[in-house]
Amino acid sequence: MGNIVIGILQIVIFIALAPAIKGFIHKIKLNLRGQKGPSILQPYKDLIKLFRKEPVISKDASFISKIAPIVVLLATIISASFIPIFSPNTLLSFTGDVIAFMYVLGLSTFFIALYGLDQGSSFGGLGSAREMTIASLAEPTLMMIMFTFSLEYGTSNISEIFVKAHSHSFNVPIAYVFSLLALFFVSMAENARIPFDNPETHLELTMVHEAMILEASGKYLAIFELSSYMKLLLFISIASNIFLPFLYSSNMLLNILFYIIKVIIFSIPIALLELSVAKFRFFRIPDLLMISFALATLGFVLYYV
Amino acid sequence: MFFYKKVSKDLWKFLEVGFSLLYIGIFLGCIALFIKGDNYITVAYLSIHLNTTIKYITYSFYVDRLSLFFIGIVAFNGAINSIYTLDYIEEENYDKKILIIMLKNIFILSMILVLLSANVFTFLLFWEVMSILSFFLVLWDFKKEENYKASLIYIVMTHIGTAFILLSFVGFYINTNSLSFDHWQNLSLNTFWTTWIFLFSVLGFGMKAGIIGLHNWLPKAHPVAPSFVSALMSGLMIKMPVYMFIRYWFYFIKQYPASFGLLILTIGTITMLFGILNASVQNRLKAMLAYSSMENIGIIYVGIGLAMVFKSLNIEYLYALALGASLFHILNHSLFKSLLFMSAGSLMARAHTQEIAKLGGAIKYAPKLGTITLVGMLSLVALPPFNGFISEWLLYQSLLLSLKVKGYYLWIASPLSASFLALTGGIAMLSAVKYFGLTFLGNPRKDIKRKEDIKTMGLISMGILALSCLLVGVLPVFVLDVINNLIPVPIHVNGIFEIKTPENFGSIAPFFIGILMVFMLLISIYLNKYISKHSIYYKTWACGQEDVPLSAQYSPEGFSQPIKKITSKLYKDGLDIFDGIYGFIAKSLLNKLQTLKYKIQPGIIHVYILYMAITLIILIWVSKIYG
Amino acid sequence: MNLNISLSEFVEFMAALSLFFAILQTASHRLDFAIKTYTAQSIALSITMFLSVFYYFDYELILSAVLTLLIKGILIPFVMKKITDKIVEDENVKPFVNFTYSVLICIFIVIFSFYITSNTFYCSTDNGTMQKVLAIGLSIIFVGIFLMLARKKALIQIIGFLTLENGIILGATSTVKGLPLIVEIGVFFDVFVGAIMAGILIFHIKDTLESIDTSKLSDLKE
Repeated sequence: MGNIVIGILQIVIFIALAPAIKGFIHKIKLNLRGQKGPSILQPYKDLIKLFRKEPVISKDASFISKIAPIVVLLATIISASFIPIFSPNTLLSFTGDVIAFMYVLGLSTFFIALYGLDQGSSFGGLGSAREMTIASLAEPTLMMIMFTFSLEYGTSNISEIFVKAHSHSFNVPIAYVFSLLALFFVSMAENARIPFDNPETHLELTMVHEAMILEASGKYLAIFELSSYMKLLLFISIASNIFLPFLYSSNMLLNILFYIIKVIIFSIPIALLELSVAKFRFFRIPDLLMISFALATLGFVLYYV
Repeated sequence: MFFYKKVSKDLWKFLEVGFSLLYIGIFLGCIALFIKGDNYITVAYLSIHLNTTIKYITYSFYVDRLSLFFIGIVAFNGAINSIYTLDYIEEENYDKKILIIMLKNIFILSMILVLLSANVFTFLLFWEVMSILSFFLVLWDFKKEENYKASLIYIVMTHIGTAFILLSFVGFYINTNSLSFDHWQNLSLNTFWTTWIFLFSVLGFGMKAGIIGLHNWLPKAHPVAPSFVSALMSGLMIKMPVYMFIRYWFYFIKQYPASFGLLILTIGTITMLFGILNASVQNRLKAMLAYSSMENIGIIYVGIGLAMVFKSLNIEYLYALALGASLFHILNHSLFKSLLFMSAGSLMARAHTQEIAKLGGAIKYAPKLGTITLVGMLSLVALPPFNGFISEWLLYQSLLLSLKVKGYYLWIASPLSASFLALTGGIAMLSAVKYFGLTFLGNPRKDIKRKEDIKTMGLISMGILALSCLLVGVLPVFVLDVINNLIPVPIHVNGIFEIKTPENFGSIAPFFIGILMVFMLLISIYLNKYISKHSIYYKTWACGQEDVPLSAQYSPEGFSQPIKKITSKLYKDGLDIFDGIYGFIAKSLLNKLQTLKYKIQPGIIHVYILYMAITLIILIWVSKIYG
Repeated sequence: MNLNISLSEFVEFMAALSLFFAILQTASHRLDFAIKTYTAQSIALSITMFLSVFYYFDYELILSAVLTLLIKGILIPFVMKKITDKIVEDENVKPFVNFTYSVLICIFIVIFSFYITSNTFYCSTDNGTMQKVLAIGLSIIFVGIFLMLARKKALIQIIGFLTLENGIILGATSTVKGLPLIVEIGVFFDVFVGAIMAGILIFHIKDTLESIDTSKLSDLKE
C-alpha cells in the first residue's frame, strides 16, 4: 500500500514541477539574451488562465478533436508513471519496460498528429507531416540508447535500471558520453526545441509542434501545453536519473531536493544550445538525426565490443 | 416458379452463410483438438490411396499443433470474411454473384488443405488450386487494363515460385527417396544439399510471401482485387509460404549453419525497411496497405531468422522466444490487415475511388467505420493497448537477449535490426496518420454522392475483428498459452496478466496498461460532455481568408514529400525501384534474344534443310556408338 | 556508483571522438565547417597519441603527438583556410551521395571495420583496447576514402585524403606503438607539401574551369 502512495506522490510531484522547469529554461534563455524575462511561475499562470476559457472548436472537426487532447495528456501521464523520480517504487514499476515507454509516448505523438489533420486546414497538415518525419527519424537513436542501457544493467525494466545505477559498485563507462549526447539531440527533436523547431513562434516557416495545435484554444490548449511541459521534464528525468546517478540518499525529502538539482543541471545545456544555434532548415534535420544515430551506435559499439 | 426465382436470386446468400458456418465449425474443431489433442491424436495421419497404376499419386494429410494453429487463423478469418461479403457484394453489385462466392470459398478451402497436406503431390495440387483461384479473383474486374497487367505478373511470378519450391522438393527426394513429409522429419544433410534446399526455399517461398526483390506482384495485385479478396490474400495467403518455411527449418531439417539464420534476418530487415518506405509515399488506399503487408512479412522473417540462428547454436529458450514472437505476429497481422482491407473496401464502395486525393472527411458521415479503422491503424502501428504492440515487444526482447550470445556476429546485427525496426515503426506511424487523417478527417476533397455508414453485416464482421485486436492486446496470455505448445520452452506468463522474458530481463503487464487506457477514455468522454456544453463553434483559421477551397487542405503527395525527399533514390516516378531494374534486364535480354532469333531462323529454306540433315546425321552416329 | 575511468578507456574514448569528428565531416554542408571538424579531429588524435604514451611507455610517441598537433592541427588548417579565402567560391559542398545516406554508410563502415578486426587479436592484457583502436583507425581510413569518392569539390577531397592519413597514423599507433620517428617526420612533411601543392592545383583548376567541381574535369577530354 505504501508503494502505491509513493507512486502517486511521484506523479503528482512530476506534474507539479513540469511547468516550472519550462519557465526556468525560458528565463535563462531570455536573461542570457539581455532581457528580463517573465517569472518562473508564469507557465502556471498561463495554464490557469487557459483552463478558465471556453474552447472554440472548428466546424470541420470531428470527435477526434475532442478525445485527442486528453489521450495525449493521459498517455504522457502513463509514461511518467514508468519513470522513477526519487524512489524506484513507481505506479507501474512492474510493467515499466523501456520499449513500452517508447511506444506509449508514440501513442501521444500519433494522436497529436491526428488532431492537426482533423481541423481541415493546411497548417495542421504541414505540422503533422513534419512532426511525423522528425519523430520517425528520432526513433532508431532512442532504441539504440535503450539497448545500450539494457545491456549495461542486464534488465529492461526502468525501475530496476534505476536501482542498479544507484548502487555503489557500479563503474560508469566513459562511452556514456556518446549516448548522453545522442539522448540530448533526440530530446531536443522530440520536444520541439531549437534546432528542430521553435517553441516560441507561430510562423508557418518554423512551426512543427505549434502548427498541429494551432486550432486548439481554451481548455484543450491548456491540456496540450501541459503535456508538452511534461514531455520535456520526462526526457530530462531519464537523462538525469540514468546519467547522473550520484546524488542519491535514502531519505525521501533529500531525494526530492537532489532530483530538482539534477533537473536544473540538465536544463542549462538545453538553454545554451537554444541560444547558440538558429533553427535549422527542415531538410538539414535528418542529417542531424542521423549524426545522433551515429553517436548512439558509437556509444554502443565502444561499450560492447 | 416464382419461388425458384426468389431462391436463385438469393442463393448466393444461402451459400455464403453455409460456408461461414462451415468455417466457424472448423475453427471450433481446431480449438477442441488443440485442447484435447493429446488424448486422441499425437500425430493424425490420414492416408487415402488412389487405386491407379501411377505409383506416386496418393493424397495424404497430416495434422499437428502447428497446422492446427494456422488452420484456426484461416478459419476464423474466413468466417468473418464471409459475413463481410454478404454486405459487400450487395453494395458493389457484382454480376455473377454465385461464381465469385464459389471461387472465394474454394480458395479458402484450398488454403486449409495446403496446411493439411503431407506429401508433395497433395501439397502441389492444392497450392496450384490456391494460386489459380486467386488469379481469377484478382482478375475479376478484367475490363481495366491495369488489372489485366497486374494479374499477369502475379500468375507468372507465382509459377516461377512454384518451380523453385519444386526444386527444393527435389533436394529432399534425392536424400530420402520418399515424397511424403513424414519421412522428412529431423534430417541432417550434408552442406551441399542443405544449401541447395535453403536457396530454393528462400526463393520459392519468398516469391509467394513477398520479400525484397521478389515482391513485385504484391503492390500490383492487392490494390486491384476486390476488397474481400485482398483481405484474404494479404491476411492469409502470404502466410502459407511462411508456414512451409517454418516446417522446413524447424521440423524437417535439424542442422544448418548459423549464417543461414543471419541471412534471413538481413533479408527480413531490408524487406521491412523497403516496404514501409514505399508505403509512406503511396497515394492509393490499398497500395499503402499492400506495401505495409510487405513490411510485416519482413518483421516475421526477422523473427524466423533469429530463431534459426538460435536453433543452430542450440540455445533453446531464445529460439522459443523468437519463434513465439513470429507466430504471434502472424496471428496479429492476419487480424488487423483483414480489418483494414475490409474497411478500405467499404469506403471504396461508397466513394468509388481509391485515390486519397479525392477522399476526405469520411468520419463525419461514417463514424462507426472511422472508429473501426482507427482501431485497425493503432494495431498496425503497434501501439499499446492493441495487439501489434505485444508481438513487436516480444521481438524486441528476443533481439535484446540475443546480445548475450557472445562470440558471433549477432552482436551488431541485433541492435541494428532493432533500430531499423524502430525506424519502420516510426514511418508506419507516418503512413497511418496519412491514411487515416487524410481519408477520414477534414473535409471531402471531391463530392461524394453516397454518404452512408456501414450496415449491420459489415459492422458485425469488422467489429468482431476490432474487438479481437483489443482483446488480444489486453489479454495476450490466452494466445501465448496456445503458442507455448508450439515452441520447446514456454514463454513465461505470470497469472493472466503479466508476460516475463527469460532471466527476468523484462516484463510487461498489458492488462494494466489497457485498463488505465480504457479508464482514460471514459474520463475523456465524460469530461468532453462537460466541456462541449460551453464551447463555441467557428470556422477553421485560414490566415483571415474567406472561402478557402476544400482542395487547400493538405494533400497526400504533400504529406509524404519530406520523407520522399530524404530517401530520394528509392522511387522513380511512382515505380518501385525493382520494377525499373527488372524491366531493364528483361528488355535488354529480350533485345538480345530477338537478334539471336533472327540469326537462327533467317527464313531461308536451305538453312532449315541443313538443320534437318545435321539432326539426322547426329542421330545415326549416336545410335551407332550406343547400339 | 564510481567514476573510475581507466587509462585504456580514456584512450579508446579519444580515438572514438576522432572518429566522430570524421563522420561529422561527411555531414558538413559547408567548406569551413569541414575544415573546423578536421582540426578537431586532428587535435583529438594528438591527445590519443599523447595518452597512449602512458599506456605503452614509449616516449617517442610524445614527439609524434606534438608534431601531429602542430602540423595537422594548426598548420594545415591554416593553409586550407587561406586557400578557401582566396578562391571566392560558393561555400556549399555538393554531394554525389546525399548527406543522410552518407552518415548511414559511415555507420556501416564502422561496423564493417569492427567486424574485420574482431578475431585478429588475443591479447589478454588490455581488455581489447588495441583491437578497438585499430578498428577505429581502419574506419577513419575508410571514411576518408568515402569522403573522396562521394563529394564533388576538390577541397573536400583533399580533406578526405588528410583524414585517410590520420587514420593510418592512428592504426599504426595502436598496433606497432607508432611508426619509427624518421618515417613519421617524412610522412608529415610529405603531407604538408602535398597540401600546399594541392592548393596551387586548385587555383589552376579554378582558373581553367571556373569552378572546383572535379566532375567537370572530364570536360578536358574534348
